[in-house]
Amino acid sequence: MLAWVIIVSIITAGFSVALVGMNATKAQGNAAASAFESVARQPEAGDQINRMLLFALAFIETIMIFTLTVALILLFANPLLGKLS
Amino acid sequence: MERGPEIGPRVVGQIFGIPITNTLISLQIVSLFVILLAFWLSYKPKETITTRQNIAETLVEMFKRYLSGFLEEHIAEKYFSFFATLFLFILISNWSGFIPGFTSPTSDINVTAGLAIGTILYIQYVAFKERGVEYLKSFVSPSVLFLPINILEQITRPVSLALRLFGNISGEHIVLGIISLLAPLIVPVPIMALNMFMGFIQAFIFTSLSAAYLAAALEE
Repeated sequence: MLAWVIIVSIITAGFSVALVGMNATKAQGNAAASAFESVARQPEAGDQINRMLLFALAFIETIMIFTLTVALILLFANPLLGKLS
Repeated sequence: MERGPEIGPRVVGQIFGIPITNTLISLQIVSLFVILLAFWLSYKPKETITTRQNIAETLVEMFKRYLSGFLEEHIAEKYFSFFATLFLFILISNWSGFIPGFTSPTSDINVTAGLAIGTILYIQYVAFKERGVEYLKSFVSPSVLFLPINILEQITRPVSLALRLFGNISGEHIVLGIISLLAPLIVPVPIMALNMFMGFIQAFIFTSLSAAYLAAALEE
């Protein structure tokens, strides 16, 4: 039983980080691409677009970091292991 | 049960029964370093500008200009020292992890949680001081129905601030550890350069998000 919990935790952690990495990098790429397009169209608004882009990237990255935290908890501080022993 | 690999702070000793972790020690050293750095940079300004003074003034001017992009001019002037201290402290904490035998204080979730909660409480206090009772009205701004949503928004802010900083810094450390386990010689150097850049960006993001929260709280 303990072995199964460990196996499922490792697989879940790896898959969650892989999936969120895939999708979140795609989203960040979209955001950056649109920002670059806007700067190319309107170079004088570059400063403000830069700031907004930084915020958008930070908020997208938050989801990634939440998943990373869940994965780290599963790998290093799994609360389910304590219930078995 | 055998103990597996660990993450986070490590207890290295005890003083009067209070456990002392390695991040606590490095936190004190970083705080002391920030204070000494600030003293050294601003010690006895002279009439003829020295190099040290010039660098400090340029950095302060740059940061002030950046901050006034979020806040109004007089507000940015008033609370400049708070945000500058926050930025300097987080930046040096992030970069201190590169010293061998040193752990970044920000790779401990307790430190980042304390920072985030303190920042948010200070922002509430500043908003209340600047706007008075009118600030409390903004919690029920469109209608009373929005009260739980507004309070929830205030609660999720420190959580996301703390987790973002902690996750980024400790994630970088884990990646660096794994890479140096695989190829210890030259390969980690570009990763370290990337981590240094990311540490700067994270300090920047934390400060600008706090400034934006303050700007949102002060909005009429």
